[in-house]
Amino acid sequence: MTYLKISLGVILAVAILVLICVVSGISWLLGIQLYSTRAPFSAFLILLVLLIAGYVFMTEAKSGKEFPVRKIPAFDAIEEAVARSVEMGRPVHMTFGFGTISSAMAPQFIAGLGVLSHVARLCGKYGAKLIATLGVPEAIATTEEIVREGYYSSGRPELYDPTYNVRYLTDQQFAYASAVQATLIRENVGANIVVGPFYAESLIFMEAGNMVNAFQIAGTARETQIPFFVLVADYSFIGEEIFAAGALASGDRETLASIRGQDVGKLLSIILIVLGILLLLGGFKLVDSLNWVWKVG
Amino acid sequence: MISWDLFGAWLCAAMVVWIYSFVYRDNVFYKVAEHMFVGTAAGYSIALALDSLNRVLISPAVRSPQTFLTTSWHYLIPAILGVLMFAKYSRKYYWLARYAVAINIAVGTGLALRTVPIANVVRQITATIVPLWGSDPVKVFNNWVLVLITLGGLTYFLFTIFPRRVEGARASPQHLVYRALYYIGIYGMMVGFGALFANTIMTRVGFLISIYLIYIQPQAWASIIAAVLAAIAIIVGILRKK
Repeated sequence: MTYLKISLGVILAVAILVLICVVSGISWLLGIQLYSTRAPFSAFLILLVLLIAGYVFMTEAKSGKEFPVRKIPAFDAIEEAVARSVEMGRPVHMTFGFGTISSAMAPQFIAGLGVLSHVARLCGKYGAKLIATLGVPEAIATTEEIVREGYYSSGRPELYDPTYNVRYLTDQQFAYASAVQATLIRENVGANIVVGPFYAESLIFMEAGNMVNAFQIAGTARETQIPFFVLVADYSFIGEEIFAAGALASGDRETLASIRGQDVGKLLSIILIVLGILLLLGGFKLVDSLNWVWKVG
Repeated sequence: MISWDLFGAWLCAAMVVWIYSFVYRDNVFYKVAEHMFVGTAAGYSIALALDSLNRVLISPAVRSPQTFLTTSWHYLIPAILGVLMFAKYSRKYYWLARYAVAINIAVGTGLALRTVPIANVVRQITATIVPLWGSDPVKVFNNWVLVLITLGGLTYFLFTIFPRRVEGARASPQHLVYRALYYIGIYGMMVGFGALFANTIMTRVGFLISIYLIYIQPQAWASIIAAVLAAIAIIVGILRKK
């Protein structure tokens, strides 16, 4: 039965690929401009391979297969941070950014929410007070639900107080930053967990956490802000590690399998780079093929 | 004669100093500045949102409902999603708010998917396919550094595909290559982060200087005194912490 399920997933994925190839071939013969001329065709193919790989691995995970994920020290340190805060009698602070969730930063917000659910469960387990600050108005309901779920699932519903636990500040960058840093100092937080898309406010949060000697765990996939987190935080998630952390935090086997799909993309990139360099020896430019644009006529 | 412009300039100057005062410690001036800032930002966001709603949806729909329904009916979808957000206040129907959030997130992810394969995959791969040989040793060295650090970075971010080493057994060649690339990746990234950090700090110092120049020009000596005062405040803060 398991074998059948895996086969069906793969067959469906291959069928989609074949269908796209057939449709592309027919449109080419009929002279129909099916794809954008502004983007290389290879981008579409790579996206397709990634989607199919993700789908296949998720199907495999659904049928019971497990994919071991390498250790991420910052993720393991979250429990230590919460436990330390409880010992010190100080609250745990978590924030995942500001702005609008319907932007290209959505995957990072999701990763931040995933980590928040893990932190909320741990706070419930250890009886810690959690303060989740946010600057994303659309995510207020979700954040309240995640924090409530964390406390309820750990058997500590009495610790949940939405007005204390979830604090929406504003969606304007530096107003949000000034309010978060004030919260860190005034509440004298024991742990400061910052995961999501961050901009110039990243160092402000880290410095405020440092002023109260908080245990700091931070991560973002915005490369310009990673240096600040690496420098000041006790543990940091570097780039894509936040997505892996979000999946790990969810504990959901299918979400974890999606990381395998991302890994296929990285492996494909490594293979294409090595192949491209080797082909250069024979005078063939793989770069030209990768930059090829679908143009009819 | 005190004009609104002059009052605004003085208020701005006071706010800058009050916000900076946080470097020393939390105080009433910072609290005033912070609350003004957060309140103004929240009010500004609401005003912008209402204005946008009025311009795009309410006014056209009230002015000519027929034209609106034929040309701009799709604006009703986000409007309904927005209304669903308020369902969170109902104990019975709070789950409806999830749909609005889910669609918002899906739109964001879709937007990211549109550009990521081009900008983050194809462009990066094509930029890394460079010759590792040639007559110019500096260029060849740069190309080697570029390729090795890129491959190392990619290897570092492999979370589920990596060769495992059996306890007590000798490391396999695959494992040795993996570890070598892993360390090249992490050290390469650290060097990159250092450069990025220095670059950003330079920009921030530029902001600091521009703030001094706005408020204390034309007396250049006053800027120097202000910078010295800021440095003293930071040193006092560090000593206090110790």
